[in-house]
Amino acid sequence: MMVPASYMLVPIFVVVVVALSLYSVKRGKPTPSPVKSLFILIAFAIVVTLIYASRGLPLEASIGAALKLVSSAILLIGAVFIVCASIGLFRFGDEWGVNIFYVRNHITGIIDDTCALVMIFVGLLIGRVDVAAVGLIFFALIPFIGNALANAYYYTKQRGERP
Amino acid sequence: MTTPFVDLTFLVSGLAFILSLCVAGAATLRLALRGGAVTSLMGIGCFTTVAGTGLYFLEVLFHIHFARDTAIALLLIGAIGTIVFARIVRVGGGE
Repeated sequence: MMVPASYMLVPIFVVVVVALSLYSVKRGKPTPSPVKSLFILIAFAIVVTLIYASRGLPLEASIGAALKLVSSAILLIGAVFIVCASIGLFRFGDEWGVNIFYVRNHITGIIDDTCALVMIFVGLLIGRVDVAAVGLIFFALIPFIGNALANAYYYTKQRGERP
Repeated sequence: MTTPFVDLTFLVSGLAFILSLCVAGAATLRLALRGGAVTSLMGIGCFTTVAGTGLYFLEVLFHIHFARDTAIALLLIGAIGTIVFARIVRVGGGE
């Protein structure tokens, strides 16, 4: 049975993430909750694949359906994160002082990160490598944006105020 | 080949994600319109990200091909432009 080449990226990615997670558990570090969510999503995909395969759908189509359902779940999780970050942007006004800029910088970084990660995961899961590639390139640029903005704010606004 | 249920679920999830991006766009526009120079730059930079991601998912959901080109331009040129203008503001001592 021929498997589309883009779908081969998903098992490689999952193997790498699971190996890194097990390595962090072995070293005694606390496991972050996104890793637990990843295991839940993998179990969800396996169950959906088995259900569709038991109903007579071909195995390749069952795997495609499961991956598309998992990408739907990732889209919904990303939507929740983005709405929470947007509420934070709405709430933190200028009355919180000068340093509120760095809080806003952090929040916009969270929105950027969520957008990039959703593009990477969904692109890999639905077999759209171009979406994942653009998300990956943008994900590499995000730290430079935050650093450049914080640097500009510090040197223009706060450097003269220090004793 | 997938089932209609899966396609409908993906469509609804994508629309929910685009709706959340609209909320984030409103928040970043408010940030861009009410802050100083660097804060406005931060708001506009985040708005280009949100708009680019939304346009890219419009292409994924509804197969509108020109939206993908606009999204790539927004994501890459917006990010690089934010970095360049932040450097200019830092050197020029703006705000």
